[in-house]
Amino acid sequence: MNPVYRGLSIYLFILVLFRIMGKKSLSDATTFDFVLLLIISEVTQQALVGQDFSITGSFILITTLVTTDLVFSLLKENFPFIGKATEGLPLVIVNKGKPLTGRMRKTKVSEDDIMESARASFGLEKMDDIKYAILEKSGQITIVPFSR
Amino acid sequence: MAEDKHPLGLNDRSVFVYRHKNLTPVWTICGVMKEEVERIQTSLQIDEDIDLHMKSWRVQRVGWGHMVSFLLLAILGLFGNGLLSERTLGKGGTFLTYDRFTRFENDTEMEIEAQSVNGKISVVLPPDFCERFKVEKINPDPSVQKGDNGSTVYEFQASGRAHLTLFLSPRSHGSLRCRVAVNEAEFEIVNFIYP
Repeated sequence: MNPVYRGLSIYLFILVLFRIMGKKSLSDATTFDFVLLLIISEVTQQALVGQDFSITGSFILITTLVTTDLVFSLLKENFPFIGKATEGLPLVIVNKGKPLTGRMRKTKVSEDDIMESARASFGLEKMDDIKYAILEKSGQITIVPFSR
Repeated sequence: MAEDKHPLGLNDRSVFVYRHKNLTPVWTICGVMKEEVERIQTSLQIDEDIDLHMKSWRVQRVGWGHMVSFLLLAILGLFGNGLLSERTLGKGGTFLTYDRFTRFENDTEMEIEAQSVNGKISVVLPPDFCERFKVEKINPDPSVQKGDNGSTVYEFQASGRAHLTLFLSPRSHGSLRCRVAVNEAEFEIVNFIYP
């Protein structure tokens, strides 16, 4: 199969699969998650390259991946909906000291994850000290404390 | 019109609404929308489209279902190596086993069990088959190997019943329908090679 098609299909498949998997907060990533990511990249590499070990083949593949990424970022700029659909949006998970459990369950974020971020960024002690906690597009939890 | 009035002051319309308010929505029973998602107002300058979030969670659930069914189909062999894929054809004591679904560049085997005729067994692979599959190895080795009108003919020396294995490697993707002949018996091979 042509390397361009290989690159394109794998790019799109991974994009869709990771979107379906859902936004999991980065603070939740375990060593196992990293190992899993390494295994996924190994499997992907074999399907991408196949039997083609030529330099030209790798040039074509790298250009395909980078161009697809560029096209997507241009599309996101011009059609915000595409960005929202592929990357998601930030989500408020704590509102004025109250954890929004429905939202947290949907995004698989626990109170411990939020408190961990709160301690790390502001040294906050209790949930009541958090004005807002937001699960960002990147999977990070950002904290807005009550102004003291 | 006094007799038309409901004793509690309800009319047909209000009874209708009342009934439907008490119905448990189907999606609640299914557990799809069981958890309430809070709608809030914040002072944050943030683009938080909760309806889009809910839509994406719904799409995610459907996606999880597709992932599981994809795996189940893979286990069953829709993409090769499984129950749905393996197929055995038999004709007059000759048997041919092959994979209906194969994957590009992923080796597969075709097994033939046949009775020798005059001390030999001949296998004829049509041109379509040879275009799709590269014959990597044959066990046992054929004594004669020749071309005949685009087909490839293999002849094996054998006495009694013999078991032949062809190790094949798919060279291109797509579907294939052709006839493989073993001695006098012809078998119709239907195969799909995934990219």
